[in-house]
Amino acid sequence: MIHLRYQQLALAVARRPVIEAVDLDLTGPGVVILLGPSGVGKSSLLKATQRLIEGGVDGWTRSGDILLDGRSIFAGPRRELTRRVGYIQQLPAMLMGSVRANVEFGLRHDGRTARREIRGIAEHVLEDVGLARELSLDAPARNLSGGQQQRLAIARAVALQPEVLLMDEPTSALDPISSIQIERLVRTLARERLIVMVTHKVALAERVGDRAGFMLRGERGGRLAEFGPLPAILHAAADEGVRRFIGMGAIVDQRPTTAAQILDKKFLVIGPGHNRHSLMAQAIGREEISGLPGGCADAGEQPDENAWNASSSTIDGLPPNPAARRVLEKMDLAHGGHASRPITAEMLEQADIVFCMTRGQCETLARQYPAHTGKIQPLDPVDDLEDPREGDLEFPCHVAGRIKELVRWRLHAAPQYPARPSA
Amino acid sequence: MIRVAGALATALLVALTIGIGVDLFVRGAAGFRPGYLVREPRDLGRGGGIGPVLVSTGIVVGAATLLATALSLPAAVFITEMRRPAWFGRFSHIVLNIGIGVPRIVWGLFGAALFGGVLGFGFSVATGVLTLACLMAPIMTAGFISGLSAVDPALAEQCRALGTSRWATVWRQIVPAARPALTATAALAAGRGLGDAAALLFTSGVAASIPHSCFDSAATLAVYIFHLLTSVPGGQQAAYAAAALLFALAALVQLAVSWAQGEQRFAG
Repeated sequence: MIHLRYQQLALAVARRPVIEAVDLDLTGPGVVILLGPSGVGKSSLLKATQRLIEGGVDGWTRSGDILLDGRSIFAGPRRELTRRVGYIQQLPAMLMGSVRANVEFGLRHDGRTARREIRGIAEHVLEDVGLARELSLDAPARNLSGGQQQRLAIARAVALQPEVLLMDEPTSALDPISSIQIERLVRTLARERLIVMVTHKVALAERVGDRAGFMLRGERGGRLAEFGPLPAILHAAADEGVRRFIGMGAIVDQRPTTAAQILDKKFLVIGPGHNRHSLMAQAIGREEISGLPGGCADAGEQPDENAWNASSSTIDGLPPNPAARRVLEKMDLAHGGHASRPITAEMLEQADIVFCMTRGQCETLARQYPAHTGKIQPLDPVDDLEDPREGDLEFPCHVAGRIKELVRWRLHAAPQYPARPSA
Repeated sequence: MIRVAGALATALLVALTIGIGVDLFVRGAAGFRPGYLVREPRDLGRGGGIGPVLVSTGIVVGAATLLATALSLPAAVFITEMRRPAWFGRFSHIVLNIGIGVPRIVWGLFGAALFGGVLGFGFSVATGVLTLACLMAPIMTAGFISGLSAVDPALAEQCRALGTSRWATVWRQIVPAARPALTATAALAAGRGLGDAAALLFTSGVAASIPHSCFDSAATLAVYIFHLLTSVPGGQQAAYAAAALLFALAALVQLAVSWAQGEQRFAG
């Protein structure tokens, strides 16, 4: 039994409040998810738990306390804490040298592992995270893919055998397959550890989480608005703020929205900025026909030329070349069915619910079409889905996967989805 | 317009550098005799070779670079990686910049007075090395600071998260990660030392023989060239040959650094 307790924890940096008096009682083993929009101090809370953020350093101030099994984590040397609590960065920095050296480095310098055991432990954890099977342990760590780096980071942390593992958005930049690997790993690790994970992905939270906290912006920094089992929070939040946040844009039309009704409609994806060349919109198109080989390529993988052509032409409404047409026919997909086009009043008329990618988009759309305000809401109840301004297709593909997940989740949750309490 | 001007300026700069090199080699060509690099100078340097001067240059510049690195690296690590009051960082930065700006002849005077006079080392390798290291250290420290600051802070955070000591973090991760930048800085400073005459003229002296102890006088190439030009009648030809050699050495140092950095990049 592991017990992590936050007592009136408040953090501020350069006099700007980041977190206001958080009280939270976590017991392990198990997975606790921290949800909430960007900038409410979720990551800061995580960092404070490993004393990566400390009062009096770099302009931070802290009041309140964090207790691990009843003892303040701020008492005693930090090294004692890092032996019990591991922290994994969102985009883990790779240490110098090989995959093996990355894991051995922590063990070599933790001052309690015997030299002759280090190699064995490192190989063991690398086996556990599945890296030992995939690549040579002497390969340079910097050449690993995003998912492999994340798993290496987990191995690095787990090698020190912490009781608590803090994970900051571990799958935020990963392709769906790598995400699933990480999720499985998290479930396995959670059998004997307390895992506290910050994430934006509601679907992920539902799959791996036991309990969840929802953080919102308060008057003096982020506050913990809700804590409990995840379905309770998403479907019947007690906190008015959380309810408003989840149901933002709100369904005035109180008919229960069923899957059939949404599926009957044309699948209306409102790309960010109404941009036809939006990377995200393109990725959504590719995900749509992801049955195609290479519909959405993994990092370093060359996508199938014809599939790309097919998906590009369906998105842009351009005639496909013969090869692409054959691919589409084989998939039983009508060409042009997914063409991106400007939003019209008619489209909104036809839709029962319009999901936007960002809150800003919701507002713009509601201003343009006041008659349909009630139908418009953000797809992700937690955070905006932004189009990356640059970068390769890996990230938009990942966002597209997340959009699909969210749509699935919406369909599944639709019957119990809380209607906004009428004012 | 600006494109053309920029292209012309670039071409001019490149041509200038190449031009100097070519000019030196053309004029110096007559001075290159068989065994020039190993033989001793004769006839006040107007004839013979340049061997002892090359050895002295290697000793003085090499030792000064090592000494300056040994001084600058810990200083740069302290300024970038350690907890310290913010004012101290700003203050040391300003002072370092002043140090970089101090003219070399001033360093030379200072070195001659302190190491040569007060400490009694006289015109010697020791005085030269110490003075040159003083001149190089601020340049190196400033370069090391920017090299170390360019390392992703996530690396340090990761090490902290693993509970690694600051010592191990800095020497095992951050310094190796910054190594290409650190090497380039050290080479740049060594290049300065290689070409410096003003600071060494009054410190390591002008003796064109191999020093047998660190208290012997020894001329580096740059000082030797200065000496040939100013005190040896008809020494111009020999000065050109030595200058061409100095140019080649400086170019060699830069090429070696570029090559080493290229290797680094490909090694990932």
